Amino acid sequence: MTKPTQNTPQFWLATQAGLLAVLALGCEGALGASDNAPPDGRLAGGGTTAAPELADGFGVARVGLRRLTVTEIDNSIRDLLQDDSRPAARFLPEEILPPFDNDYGQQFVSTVLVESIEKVAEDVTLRLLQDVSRRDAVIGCSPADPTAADATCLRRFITEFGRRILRRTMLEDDVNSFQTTAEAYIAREHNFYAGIEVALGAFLQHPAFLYRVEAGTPVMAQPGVFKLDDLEVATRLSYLIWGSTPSDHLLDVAQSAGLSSPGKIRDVAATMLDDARASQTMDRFHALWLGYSVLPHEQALATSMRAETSALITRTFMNDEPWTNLFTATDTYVDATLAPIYGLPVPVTGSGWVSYPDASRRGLLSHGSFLSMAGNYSDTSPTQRGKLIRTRLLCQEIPPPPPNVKNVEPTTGAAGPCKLDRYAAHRASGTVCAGCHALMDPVGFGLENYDRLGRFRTHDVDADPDSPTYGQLLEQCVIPGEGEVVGVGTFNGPAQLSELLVAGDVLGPCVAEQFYRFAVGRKKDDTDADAVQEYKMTFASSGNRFRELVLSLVASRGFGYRREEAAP
Amino acid sequence: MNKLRLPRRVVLRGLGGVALGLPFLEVMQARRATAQQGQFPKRYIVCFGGYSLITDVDSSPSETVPSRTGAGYDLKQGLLPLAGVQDYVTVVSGMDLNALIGDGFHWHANLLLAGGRPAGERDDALTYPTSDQIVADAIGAETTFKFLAYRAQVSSYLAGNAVENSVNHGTISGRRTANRIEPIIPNSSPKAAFDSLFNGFAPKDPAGQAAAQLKLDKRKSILDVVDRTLGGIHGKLSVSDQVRLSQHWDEIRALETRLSAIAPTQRGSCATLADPGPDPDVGGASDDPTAVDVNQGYSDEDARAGVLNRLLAMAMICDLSRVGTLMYTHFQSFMNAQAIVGRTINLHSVNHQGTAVDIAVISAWHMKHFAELVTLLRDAPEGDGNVLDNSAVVYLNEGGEGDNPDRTDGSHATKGLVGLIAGRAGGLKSGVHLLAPAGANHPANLLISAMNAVGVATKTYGDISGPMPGLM
Repeated sequence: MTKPTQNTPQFWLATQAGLLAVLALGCEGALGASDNAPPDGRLAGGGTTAAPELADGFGVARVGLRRLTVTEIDNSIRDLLQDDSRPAARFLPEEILPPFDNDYGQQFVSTVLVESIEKVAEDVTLRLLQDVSRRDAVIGCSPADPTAADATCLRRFITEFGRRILRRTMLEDDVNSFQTTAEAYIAREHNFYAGIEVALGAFLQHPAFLYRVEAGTPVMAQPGVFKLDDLEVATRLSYLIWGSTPSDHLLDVAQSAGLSSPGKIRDVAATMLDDARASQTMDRFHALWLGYSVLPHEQALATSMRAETSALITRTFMNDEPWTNLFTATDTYVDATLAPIYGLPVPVTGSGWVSYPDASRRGLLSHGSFLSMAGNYSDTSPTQRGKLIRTRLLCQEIPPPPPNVKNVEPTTGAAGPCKLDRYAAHRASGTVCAGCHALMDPVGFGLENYDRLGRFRTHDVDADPDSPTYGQLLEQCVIPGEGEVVGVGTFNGPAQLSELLVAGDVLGPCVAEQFYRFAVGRKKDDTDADAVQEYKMTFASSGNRFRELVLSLVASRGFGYRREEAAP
Repeated sequence: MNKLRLPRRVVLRGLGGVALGLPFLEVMQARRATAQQGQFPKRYIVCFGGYSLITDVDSSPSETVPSRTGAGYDLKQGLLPLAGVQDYVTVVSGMDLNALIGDGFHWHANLLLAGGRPAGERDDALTYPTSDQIVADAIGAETTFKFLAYRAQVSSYLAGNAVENSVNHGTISGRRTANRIEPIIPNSSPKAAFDSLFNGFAPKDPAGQAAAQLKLDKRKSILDVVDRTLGGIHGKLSVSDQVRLSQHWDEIRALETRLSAIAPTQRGSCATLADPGPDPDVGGASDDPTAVDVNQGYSDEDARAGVLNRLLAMAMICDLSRVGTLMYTHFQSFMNAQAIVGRTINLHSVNHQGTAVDIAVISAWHMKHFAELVTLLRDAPEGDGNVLDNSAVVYLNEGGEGDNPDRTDGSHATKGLVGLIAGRAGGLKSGVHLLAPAGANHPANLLISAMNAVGVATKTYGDISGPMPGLM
């Protein structure tokens, strides 16, 4: 589709600007909006601005109401209140990771959720009020008399902090509700900060904070499609890029039409990428995507491994290198815990970048974090590693095993103790299993020289707990480490695997698809096909530049719109 | 000044389909007084343990299922902790899931509890509301808590790439919402469950009471502010989003309502429990069964289960709720079982690689907790009897002991399931071991009987019909 001519969208927007401004006052993200709104949500006067490029509703993702994740709640509390105690992680029920933490179809409401949110609110509020300087910074003013209601300061806090935390301009009536109740407790306790306690407690438990409410205005001739208002776009940007609440500056930019076109969104997003939180989000995205966000190791080791991979992701992202450099890096960030595992020298300062001495390791697939995944029975599982690589790294589908297959440890039997032989025997046994295992096992065997900590090894280790030589090297079982990604090529070890996959140009399209899923909060389906295809092409044509992974998505035509889900 | 004042918008059934419990009003107190004449409320509890009664490795005779039927059944190692309450516990063995289920153990075991056919291959979603929810809809409206859902195992303990991770593995309860059956997320924090249960119980000293009242009032007022400022947002959303937001809104209102409830009178067995203090630390992923740190994959579930038992029992005794579920361990539990079997191995691996004795030890650990819960209810006098006389407390575990006598199914056995039902509500026969009769040998039949016992006269449950003969 050709780019629209320069004049058309600008002219259109200029003549509509006055109307937009009027509409904005009445409906833009305000609490307690009038109950007079027509039930179908269309505004009286029916004004909408369908940008010409959206005439076909192209690329507008269907999205349902999304709750902030535990991480997003904690990040928001950190940024709103300078409180980094991670209360949501402490109080809220555990999230499941299929693989991302933000699948809104898996976000259920429960009594325990609402009660734990109340605990978060109480904990955070108490902590704030006890820390006088932080308290005063957050409130932004001090009462003339701390035992009485300073209405000016109170109302100012409610209005300004309300805008910040609820990501919308509060309606007069709602500010009044907050203020009246706050003042009642100020009077009862003779303490101005009792009122702050009430207001803050209400803000932190408010669904307008906890959910990313998206309403917008209907797009003419596109049933079910809505153009998001500017603060809703700002919210999408900040949660996607920073995993946190929009800054005051971003809210200001939004409310002065700074996000009113894909080009403007892209420019603002580009500046947001410079913030450290953007790297943190990229780090989190990769950890969830590849599964190493929860590592099956004791804490210190898990921390070191995360630090290693985070450092690589951060460096690659901040330098705007091609994203595929994650897989070809010739050095790695280690500390005294990790260096011996990899056979690398410990950095002089305790932790730092060390070059790989040979060509066996390159990039993320050589890291302990990735190699820790997909183990079984205290050893590596070539099948599980192969499956992880095919399904998560390459976005391929592997059909599930037959329904009653059990995860039973393979016994030695006739094939002998060597893993290679055992797995080959299983594949050759003529069962229905062979077809899928032929896709997975050879991939995993190409990494078999690397154990569950990512340590290099030359021989199998006896993993049979009943064996007298349990845990010992099996001298007769040399690991050749030959692997194959059927359909792509052969390799030996993580460096060659990385080279193979990068050269085959198969990683970029998959990460784009995964990032789309992460952004939208659900698995992609047929309705996303066109948008995802265009996004993949844009990302690829940029040379897979890391930052383009984000910018191509947020600058897409559909980003500033939503498509509603079918009514139940 | 401290008059009970209900929030302005107390509704019995919210827009999101979440039915609310009412506060414990004076009228209920009067109703309870008339119940002194022998009409006490019935209580319904379902408990669960995530293990099978057989392993893949060892096929020796069962160390769990009694050999004799009838009263005074023999207690093998796996059920030995029931000794002190045996006369109140009926054991049903030989149940079978196969009427509805083909293959596919882990994705179909959930349906054990809802009596339904699986929705699809590898789909473990519940397809019907569970029995606790059916009972709660029938008898839960009068109590402060319509139902309580607890879980001792804190985490799935799975590494981030594990496909076994499913929300349905961590719950035994599901309810119908606008367009689907949704899992109910249980409370796995004993401290939070304690705080929630004893919200309204005031300290004895006047200063403490005033402070507690202030805190309670403030909590209610905060929720009221939220309640009053939510309508505009709700109205702007698409319909499907309104439904979802309404669910959250209903829970906010339900919390507000509970905070307005009068605490039950502390007399007889009804009393506040000691504050359990902060929860034990949460252990990490136990993907690696050779984990050297016992705290990997374990968060002192033994202590947690104990606290949850005592809370659930006291809730029944004080009539704060009449319906509860207590899931001791997850479906397909990967909890580190070192504290139970004495070596570092996760529960799932015990089922696949362990011995029959291991299973008996696992069973006995769960039975220790189930017995504690049942004992607490029995030891609480009520009228001429006790709370357990008015209760039906069911225990189910994930897998059976297979097809007798061959026991070749292994740890995914859907035959030879054993269930327990404790209590004497509605004429339940207690203290016997019976073999599930042909034609009524599905766990759903057991649950239908249990529901009937507490006055819910349903004839079907999921896709199964009929109570289990021999239980009444």
